[in-house]
Amino acid sequence: MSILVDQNTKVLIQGITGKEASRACRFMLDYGTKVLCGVTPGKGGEMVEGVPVYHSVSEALEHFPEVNCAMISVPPASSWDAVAEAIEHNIPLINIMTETIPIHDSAKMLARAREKNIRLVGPASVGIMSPGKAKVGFIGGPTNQSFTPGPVGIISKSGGMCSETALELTHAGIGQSTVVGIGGDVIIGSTFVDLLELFEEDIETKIIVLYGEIGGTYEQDVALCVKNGKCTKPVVAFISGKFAGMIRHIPLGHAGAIIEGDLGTREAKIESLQKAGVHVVDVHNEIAPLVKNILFS
Amino acid sequence: MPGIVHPNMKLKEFEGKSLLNNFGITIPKSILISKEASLGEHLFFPCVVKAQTIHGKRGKAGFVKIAKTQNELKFFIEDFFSRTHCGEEIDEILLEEELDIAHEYYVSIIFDTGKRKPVVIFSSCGGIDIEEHQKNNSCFFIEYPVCPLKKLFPWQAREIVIRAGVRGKNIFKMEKILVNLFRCFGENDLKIAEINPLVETKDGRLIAADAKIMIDDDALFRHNFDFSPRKGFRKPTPLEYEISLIDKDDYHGVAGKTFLELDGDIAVLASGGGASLTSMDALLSYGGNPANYTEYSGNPSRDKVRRLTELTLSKPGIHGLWVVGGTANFTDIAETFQGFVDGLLVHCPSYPIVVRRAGPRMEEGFQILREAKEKYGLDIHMYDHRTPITLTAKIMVELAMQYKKKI
Repeated sequence: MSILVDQNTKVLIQGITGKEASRACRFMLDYGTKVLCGVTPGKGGEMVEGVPVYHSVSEALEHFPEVNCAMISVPPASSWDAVAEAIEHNIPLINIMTETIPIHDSAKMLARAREKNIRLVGPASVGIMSPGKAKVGFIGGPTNQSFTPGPVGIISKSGGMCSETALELTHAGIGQSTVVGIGGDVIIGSTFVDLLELFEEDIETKIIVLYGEIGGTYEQDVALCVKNGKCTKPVVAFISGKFAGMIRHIPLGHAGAIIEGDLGTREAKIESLQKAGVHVVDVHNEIAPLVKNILFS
Repeated sequence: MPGIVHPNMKLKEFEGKSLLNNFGITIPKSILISKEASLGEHLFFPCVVKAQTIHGKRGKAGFVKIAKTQNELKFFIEDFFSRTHCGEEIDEILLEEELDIAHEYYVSIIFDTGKRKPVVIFSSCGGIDIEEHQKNNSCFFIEYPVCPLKKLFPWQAREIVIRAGVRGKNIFKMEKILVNLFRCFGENDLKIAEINPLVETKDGRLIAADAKIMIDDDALFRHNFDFSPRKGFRKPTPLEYEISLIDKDDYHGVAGKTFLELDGDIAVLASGGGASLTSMDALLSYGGNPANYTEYSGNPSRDKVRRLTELTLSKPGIHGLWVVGGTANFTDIAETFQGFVDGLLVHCPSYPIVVRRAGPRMEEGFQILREAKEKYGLDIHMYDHRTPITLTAKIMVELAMQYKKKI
């Protein structure tokens, strides 16, 4: 088992003719992911990496009604439109790669997706990978060398650190069930808690690793979730932002990584997580040894 | 000179108020004075003299005064323009009518990350101590989530203010303000719209006495705002300015787009946003002190990396250089390392250099480093993806310490 994506995932890529998306398409196919079709308005009839392109989602679904996942890689200004198109056609999982989407548009996407009981992952997601089964998005690049199948679920706000976290676990001989890049925006489709609840139900996942950062309250929500017994599996967390917090008048990194008041600080997040029983590491390379310890003790 | 730009466009009070006014929200009678211009004719007294800053808490820093005479006004103006607030120079001063305050309310609209939608916050106690009130729960705040697919309906606005204890004609006046503020929030792509205080005057007017507005930078493409560019929070240092020019000549890849000069002794050339920040965290955790923060990524050219390296290392007092990054998907490691060596040879430093990187053409890249090491006697320590990124922070800090003791 795994969460969100596996051998049965059948992908439609919106924006498939773009440079990044067509490259991701090739790497996804190489990994064995079933990419069935793509959509770029005005470019219907073309092929990308052997995958047929259609003008609209509706046209693509006429040929491939079995599609159950949309990957979105379109310019920020057209993202709300593209995501709405996927939502209205009831594609149950929508993974949004696009970065710098206006926050009002993200809020609208999420509100509409909730009404239709559709799951969004992203915006600004690097993708989702269930090692050995399938992947959606840019995650893993051409080689996928960081990832191996195993018992650890990873949820990360940082795309780059998805593979780094997986790599350190892989070197310690520990594989991953599913690795999810949730993005670092203020409003995101799937939060740590949303995915913890899925990992809780997943038999293969024995432990969950979180890569969080300063800003917002998504990390604090994890504390509440664990405290309330909604996640009973061990959780290991790293919260980045020691440096960013030191120079907090000059924000770096993600849109969501901005501290307003005292809630979003690294200290506040670590304190609430530790109180709830989450294992928090200070330096990122302490994750793999700690996971090993917990798994084999 | 371009500043270190804040990613969120915070508006100054007078800019925020002009937005509110466009949406039918009453603001005080006012005159704006800019640094260059002389005092105009239509002055009125007494007037509230307010420095226009992006940083908050200006009242507590003495940047809000009441002038009763022209002489007092001139004194305050001269004083404000000569000072800075949290490093920020004052470019404009707003003169406003003094309001005859009967009561102060608080209203704001923000995105709540718990509910993941806009939330209207209203309280019938506003004013400068609002943060204290929020902390101590000494005041009643109504928090009302609104579906982003819909507007704020008048009945919802009335529900909010009635719950907060507003009565009589004020219910309808407040209703209009809230509905208009929500329109202003949506139509301008605001991240924060706060009016504090919303003043009720003794003659029964409701006036936005202050405005804290933040625009979503990511939505600027669909607006034609003519606000002057934000100057950021401190002036760039000469080195920061010079490095900011690297990307201007060549749009492929990023080298030094973000560069911060810091006061430590370990120079840093990092790659990849998440990896860079995680690495800096680790450096601090192991007791290191960064001389700078910068990033290069997206497959920059050899020449761009050379310039970034050369300039970064031009800073005096460096005891170590840390070149750190994750496993690149697309960046050509051999090309970027060649540029790195080009820049390094300008200085030929004797301090330890720790390199941790992986990705396309990494074997050729490390070979370039090995050759430079042997030929020029450089103290380079090389690590690839088999060593955790953040572990090389520890190695760097230890080597820099040893070097410092030796010299």
